[in-house]
Amino acid sequence: MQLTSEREEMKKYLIDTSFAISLFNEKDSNYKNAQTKTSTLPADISIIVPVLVMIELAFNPFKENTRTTIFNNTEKLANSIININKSDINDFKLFVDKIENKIGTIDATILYLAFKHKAELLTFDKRLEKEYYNQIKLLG
Amino acid sequence: MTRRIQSTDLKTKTKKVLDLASKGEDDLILYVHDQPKAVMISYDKWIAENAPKRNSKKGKKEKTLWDRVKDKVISDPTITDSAAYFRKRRDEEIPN
Repeated sequence: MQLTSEREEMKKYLIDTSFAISLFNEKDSNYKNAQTKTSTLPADISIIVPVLVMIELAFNPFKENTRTTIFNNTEKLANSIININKSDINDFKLFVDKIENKIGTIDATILYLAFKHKAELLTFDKRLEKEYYNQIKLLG
Repeated sequence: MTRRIQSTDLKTKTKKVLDLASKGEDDLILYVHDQPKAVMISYDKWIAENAPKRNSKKGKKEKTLWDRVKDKVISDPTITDSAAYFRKRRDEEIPN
């Protein structure tokens, strides 16, 4: 029981698609930023990855070898792959209604999962990051 | 010059040894009094053998998330700005 409790209190980070790719591809313009950010985080933090991110990684336009490598590396890095459950639907609707700047389905889902799991969002997508901080302000 | 560090608490003793070593006294010899018989030992030898790794000046650094990743990095120039690429794709695929 104690172990479960400690695990629940462990700091969580949600990885977005852009962050996963920047982390594993040294040719990405944000590779150094991803390296710097992850160098400041302890190795034993909990990484969560939404199913939607895994889907985007599965359809990224890299060569097949690269696509498979980034997909597999992200899956291995994740402590858990998460999704919206049936029981979240009403909560998700309320969350989306509160978003002032209307955003797309994938963005809204990623934001919702970050807040639901009390996870810090790791992304290089400027618009998503902006909306993430807007929501933090709204939630006080 | 000989230093005597008599604390039996490993953490306190480590701090004292590291404080002295950081003042450039690395070559000095200290007595370790919690042994069955007091022994003389160099700072470096004591630190290497006794100091907890994370506090040791020669110890390994704490592992970071990057350590879980660094051996898996690849090099592919197909997309050099994945953030912009996926922003565009998300905007195109899913209308508001």
